[in-house]
Order: sequence, then C-alpha cells, then structure tokens
Amino acid sequence: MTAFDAIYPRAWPNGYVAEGDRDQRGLVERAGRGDHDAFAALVDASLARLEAVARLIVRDPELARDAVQDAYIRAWRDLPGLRDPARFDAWLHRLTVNACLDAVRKRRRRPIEVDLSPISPPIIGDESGLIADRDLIERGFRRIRPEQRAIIVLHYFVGMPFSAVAETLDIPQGTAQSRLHRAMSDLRAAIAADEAAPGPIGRGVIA
Amino acid sequence: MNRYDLFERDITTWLNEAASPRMPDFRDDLLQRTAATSQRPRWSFPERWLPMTAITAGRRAMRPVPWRTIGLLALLVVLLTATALIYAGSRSNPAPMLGPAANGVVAYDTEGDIYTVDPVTGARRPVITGGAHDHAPQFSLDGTRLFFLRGDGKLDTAVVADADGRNQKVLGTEGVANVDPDSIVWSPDGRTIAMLAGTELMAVYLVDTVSGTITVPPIDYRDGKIYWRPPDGRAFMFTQGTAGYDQLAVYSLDTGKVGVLDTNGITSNVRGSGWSADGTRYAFHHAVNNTSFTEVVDQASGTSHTLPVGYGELSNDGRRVVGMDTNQGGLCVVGVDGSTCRPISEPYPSGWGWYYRWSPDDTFIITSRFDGTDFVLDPDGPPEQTQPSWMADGGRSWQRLPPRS
Repeated sequence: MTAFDAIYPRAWPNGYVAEGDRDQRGLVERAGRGDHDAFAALVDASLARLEAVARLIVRDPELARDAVQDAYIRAWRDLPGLRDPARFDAWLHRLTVNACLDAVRKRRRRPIEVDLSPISPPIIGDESGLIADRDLIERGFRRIRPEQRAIIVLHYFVGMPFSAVAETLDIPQGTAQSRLHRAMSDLRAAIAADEAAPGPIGRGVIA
Repeated sequence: MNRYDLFERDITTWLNEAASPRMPDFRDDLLQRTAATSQRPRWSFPERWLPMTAITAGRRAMRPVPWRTIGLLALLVVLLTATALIYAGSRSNPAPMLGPAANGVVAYDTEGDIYTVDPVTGARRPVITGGAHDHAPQFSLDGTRLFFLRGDGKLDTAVVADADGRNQKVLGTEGVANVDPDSIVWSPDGRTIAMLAGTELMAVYLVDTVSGTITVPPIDYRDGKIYWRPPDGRAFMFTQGTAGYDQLAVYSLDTGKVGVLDTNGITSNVRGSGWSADGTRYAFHHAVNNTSFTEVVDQASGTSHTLPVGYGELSNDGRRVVGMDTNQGGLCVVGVDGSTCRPISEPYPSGWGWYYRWSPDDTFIITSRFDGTDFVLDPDGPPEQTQPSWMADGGRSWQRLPPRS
C-alpha cells in the first residue's frame, strides 16, 4: 500500500480515479455550474497527488507549485466546458502535465542552479534491495526528458493503466506503451552511464 | 521476477519516496485565486454546441503535426531516391541497338561458368557461376542484358539476365535440343532471341524475353543464319525452299506471314548476309561453281552490287563486309562498293567457321575457327589472326556500349 492509498482509498492503486465515482461526478457538475465549494472539495481530493506529480515532472518545487496553480485555475475557468464529468480526473491530470511541460519549457530559457546532491544518503545494505540506489535513480530521472518523466510518473506513481495514460496525454494507447517503454529504457541507460562514470557530486548549473 | 521487474519496482518505490504526498501550503492561496477567477460561460465552449462525433473528428483533425513521422518518411524517400540513382548509375547505359557503338567487355564461357573480360585492362569478372553448366553467352544489342544456355549442349534451357548476371530469368518450360550456339541473335528491340536448334532438321526457335515463351514459327526454314530486320526487329531474314531453288524470305512476327526478297533471279545456294543499320539495304550470299559471292541490294532501287566474298557480314556502319575468302580460304574484308577482298587472316585449308562478328566499334572482328579456338582479327591490319591474352579462355560476345563523345 502506498501513501496515497491511505489518503484516497477509493482511488486506483496510487490515487488515480479512473471514471470518477458518483460523489465526484456530482462535485464536478456543481463546480461546473460555479459552485466554488464543490471545486474546493475537488481540490482537496486531488491537490496533494497533483502537487507530487508536478514535483516529479519538473524536479523543482517552485516550478511545480506554479504549474499546479496554473492547472487548477485553468480547471476552474474551463470546468463549465467539460462535457463528461466522469473524465474529470484524466482531464485534470492532462492540465497538470501540460502546465508542467510548459513550465519546464519556460525554465529552459534561462540557466538555473540546481542542487545535484543526493536527495538521500547512499544506502549501504539496502533493506529494500534496490538494484540502483536512490541517488542514481534521482540523477537518471533528471537526465531524461520531462515528457518521459511525465509518462513514467503517470504510470508508476499515479498508477494509471495504459488506457488512462493514453487518455490523459491524448495519444493512442499503443503510443503510450511505446513511449513508456522508451522512457524506461532511457532511464536505465542514464543510470548505467552514471554508474560507469562516477564523479564528485556537488552543485552544478544546467540549462 | 527478473531484473526489469525489479527495476520497475525500484522506480515505483523511489517515486513514492521522492514525492511523498502532502497537502501543499498554497492550498488556501490557490482557492483564493480560483475564487477570484471567473469561469468561462458555458455557451462560450464550442464543444457544448457540437455533437460528440464532430468533436472527436475535430480532435483528430487538430492533432499535432507528426513531424517525426513526416521526417522519417522524408528520410525514407531520400534513401529510396538515392538507392534508385545508385542502382541506375550502376547499370550500364543502353547502347544504340543499331549502328556503331563503343566496345565494352567480352563475354565467354569456360568450364560451365560465364565470365566477362575487359579487353583494355584484362580484368576478368565472373558473371554466371554455380553448379549448372552455363555457356553460349550473347549480349543484347543495347549491352544491358545477357542471354545464355544452361545445360549440356544437347538439351539446354534458355536463360536471360542483366549484363552483370543479376536477375536471371529462365525462359520456356522445356529445354531445347541441340542449340547451335553460333546462331544466337538478339532482335534490335531487345525482346526476342532467335536461335537454330533441332534433333533432325534445324528450325528457328524464337525466345520471347517478355512473355518467357519459346516458339517455333511455322516457316519452311532451309538453311543459313537468322538476321533481324532493322529497325524494330519484328521480322527476320532466312532461307527457305529446296536445293537449287532457294528463296530469301522474311518472316513477320506480327503478322505471321512470310515475304520473299528479290535476289535478282539467283536461286542457288542463297543464304542471308544481313541488313544495313538503316534497313535500306540487305545482303545475301550465293555460290556459283564453288565460288562464293555476297550481293548487296538496295531495296528502294532494286540495284545490287556483287562482292567477291562468301557469307559476308556487314559492319556496324554498313560500309564494309567481312566474309570468307573464296580464293585462298580464311577471312577477308571488302568495302560494300569495292571489288577486291583483302585477306585479314592466314589461309586456313579447312576454312573458318561461320562465326565472325564485328566489334561494336568496327575496329576488330571476333572469329572462331572450326576447332573452337577464338581469335581476334584486325580488319585494317595484316592477314594474321592473334589471340590476345584476354582471349586466352575465349571471347564470344562483345558488349555494346554507348558511343563515346
């Protein structure tokens, strides 16, 4: 059981609501008619998840914050246009992913300083038996493209099945599968390259 | 659980650790901002007014341009174009079907395989190899294809291929018995090959390289070589009749009819000798009292000129004739308007075989003696046959190439 399972027991394994239950659909319909309290309930049910999704995709807390706020503001503004309330979760995830990718694209225009230190100390005698340690995964995850991070996050973190990933990214299911496969391959390669060329970890500048 | 499964598990574990869920501190700020934001009126969404099918179709139409796919397709087109250009460049340009051409390589067979040799450099190249016994190669008149026989010489299969041996195509459904390898001639249009074969009486066999069929036309073939009529090669000259009453005839592949050419009343030992490249003149052989002659006839006027040479072969430019020296044996050359045949080979008591052909540029003559030995003769040189080193293994068919400018 993941952390999300405890918070959102009605969701899919990692918090994704595939079709939306009756309560959620009611909230969506009310929010679409301008009921801000209903929208607040929808925010409360999804904000923690989407903020985590955004942090994983953009790898920058401030950018993630901006992206999530942009996504929710757009959701509130455009909610009256959502024809199928059952698709609210997929729609909201799409808005969030797009906002994250937009944020990353804007960030690329200027170099920023990022902390390349390990997010957790190297693990010796790892109890969980990770083949690649967390530091390597973290650095490998930074090296793959944001679009690849997004599809990995949707599938492995949010717990979306391929059909939902495809719906969220508005791509065919086969394309979603092949993109995820490619993303994982690139992540493995990035980790392997990092393993092969160990170096001092410190502060660096990326564009 | 394999290594990849473990990796996926690791990723899931790490993702949950790296982004532990927490209610962000900007929740209230966010709700304040959304509360301050106006919703778009429902009517302003076009989707509200359209059926779902139209929306779906619109989405399909509005999908992002698949630049990656377009790029791959463009790359594919470029590669295919380049391949086609390379392929076209690797193929020899076709030579003119008639008239003088440049000399290419010479094809020959040895020990059941077919090779080409470059007379200039001496470079040899295997063209048709393998377990089968292949022999009697003949280049098409445009130099792009090669015909040959596959078999033991008693029963052979007709095969055609590109000049470099690729794209072999077996013609006909049955073998042909006793093909005379010296009789094989391509039509000027490159479609048909004529050859003489037969178990008792020799007959003309027509090999259609397009349909892949081999047919025997219903003609009264008596003797002599086959000569395709320029310019299209849809008819050929042959000798019909009976001993002492020979006729020079032309068979049309299109009509299936046989016509008779004017021989000025000569009916004894009449054999075809060829056409000029423009088709305005034809030549035929005849013999009187053991003396051979070649008559060159102008079709339009009907006038003829007698040359003191037997079984003459017109040069590509139509200006000279090579044939048997009726006085001393061997081969000689005479101008089409000349009267004296100049020997170009040593006298040979047993005579020469009837295989002698001009090189594409008319500067050489390939010939084959009765014993099967191939030689090169110089039509302008002294009366001696030579066998250059490149011809040590034979040399039957000279490839025609486009004339050099």
